[in-house]
Amino acid sequence: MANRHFSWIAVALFGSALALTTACGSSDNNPSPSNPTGGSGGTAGSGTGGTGGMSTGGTGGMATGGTGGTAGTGGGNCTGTDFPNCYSCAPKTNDQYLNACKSGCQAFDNSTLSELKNGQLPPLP
Amino acid sequence: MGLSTNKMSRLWVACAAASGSMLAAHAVHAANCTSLPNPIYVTGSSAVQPFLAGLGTVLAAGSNPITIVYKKQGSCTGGDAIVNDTKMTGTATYWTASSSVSGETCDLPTAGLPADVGASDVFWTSCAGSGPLPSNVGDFFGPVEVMTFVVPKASSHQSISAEAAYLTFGLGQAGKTPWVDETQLFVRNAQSGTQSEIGTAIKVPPSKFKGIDSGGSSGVLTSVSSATNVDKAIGILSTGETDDARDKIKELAYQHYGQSCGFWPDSSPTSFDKMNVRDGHYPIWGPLHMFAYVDKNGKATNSNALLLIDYVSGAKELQGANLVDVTIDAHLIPQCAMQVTRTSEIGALASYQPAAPCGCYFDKKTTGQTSCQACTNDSDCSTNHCRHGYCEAN
Repeated sequence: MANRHFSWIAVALFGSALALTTACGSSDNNPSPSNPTGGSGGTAGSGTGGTGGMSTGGTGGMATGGTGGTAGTGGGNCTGTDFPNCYSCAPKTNDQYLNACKSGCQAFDNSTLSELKNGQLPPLP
Repeated sequence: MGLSTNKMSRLWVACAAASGSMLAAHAVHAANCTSLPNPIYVTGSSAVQPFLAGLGTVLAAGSNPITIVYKKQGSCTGGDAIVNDTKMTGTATYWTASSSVSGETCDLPTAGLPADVGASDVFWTSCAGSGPLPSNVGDFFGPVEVMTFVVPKASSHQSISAEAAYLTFGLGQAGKTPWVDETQLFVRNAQSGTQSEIGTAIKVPPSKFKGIDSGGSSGVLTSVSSATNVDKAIGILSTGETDDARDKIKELAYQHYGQSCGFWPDSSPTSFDKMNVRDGHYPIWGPLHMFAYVDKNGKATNSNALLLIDYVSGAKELQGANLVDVTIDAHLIPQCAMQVTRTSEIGALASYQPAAPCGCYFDKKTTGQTSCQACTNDSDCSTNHCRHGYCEAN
């Protein structure tokens, strides 16, 4: 009886996990690009519908304000190699278009900007 | 002070003679704008001049010549001319069939006259204190204009991020970027479409830009190209100016907020294909806006405005010229060559499939090559769409 109970619990847990993965992973059908090393105001990562930011393991990501967060690898298999965290699937959202994999780019190193504190833009005078 | 009375007298005579000559020359050479053949009055954006010049020379050469009379002021002044019915005054530029881009000069009536079309690089709502566009004014889109950050040709800089641009133009010296010298930041003013569009992109209001107002796009070009401290100088220009001046200045790759790498408008700093704009990698662009009075159905009520809008949109064919060529020659992008679109200033990018695409021809014209099949008529194409000599998808 105990064993049977345990089996049911195991099945239920597995089913829930599967459902959760499927639901959360829906954004991975259209995973977001990756990393905004500088998305403003935290727009980089709500992860809803794959419109921005990351969705690692279906958990969604969140850039934390300022000039944008460190969103993840875009979830799924849409991370390419042309430049860090570029988006290799067909772009559908603004961030995906901007980060669609393509050679011939020239990155600017934001770490050289001393007035960018923790990724936050200082207010204008 | 040190001059004798006699010398002073001679100086006055010389000055008077010189002034008289100048006035006489002006009277001889400056035409009356209203006496030109079928004038269409346009005012606003300075970035649009190369395009209007191309269009103006073609229209002037037609069997029924049309003259574009253009007052270069600034994008928001263009919107203001229609929304607030502000008259065009002073001198204006027009083009004959043989004019260069700089055109000829004519005099507007002293009392001024109303513009048929207000030309702008930006949406009306991007102009300071503008409010919504009135219901009797329409905003008609033209080809895509691209705005860039430029540095002297010899500068060691290759790219700029939105964050770096914010700190540079928003904070100036306090931003502590590679461009800390505010006397070397060559900008425009709050009326400029170039400054408004770039400001929207980097989140610095156009009225808050640090730097020197260079008095127009040609002033920015001159100041940047002649800067002696090449690594400190930077300016803002549209590709209409930069593409013809690459021997003196260079565009920087731009890395937008949320973007992991920077891109030039073109595939490379030396190409002219605007590929990164067309496919969504370079975000600082917007359509040319033509403001005109409209009826309740959104149709332009001014016949001159309607004519110009139809020519620019391609609804009316140009005699003896191809609108796509005119657009490309002005270093703009015809809507038919775009793969992305947007509906607001620097708004979200979305996929765009033009009704009559011209991407193949655009590639061929700007790079000398295209992967598309050449054709002479629709039946040559499996897609059944032969456009400008190449098979297009639709």
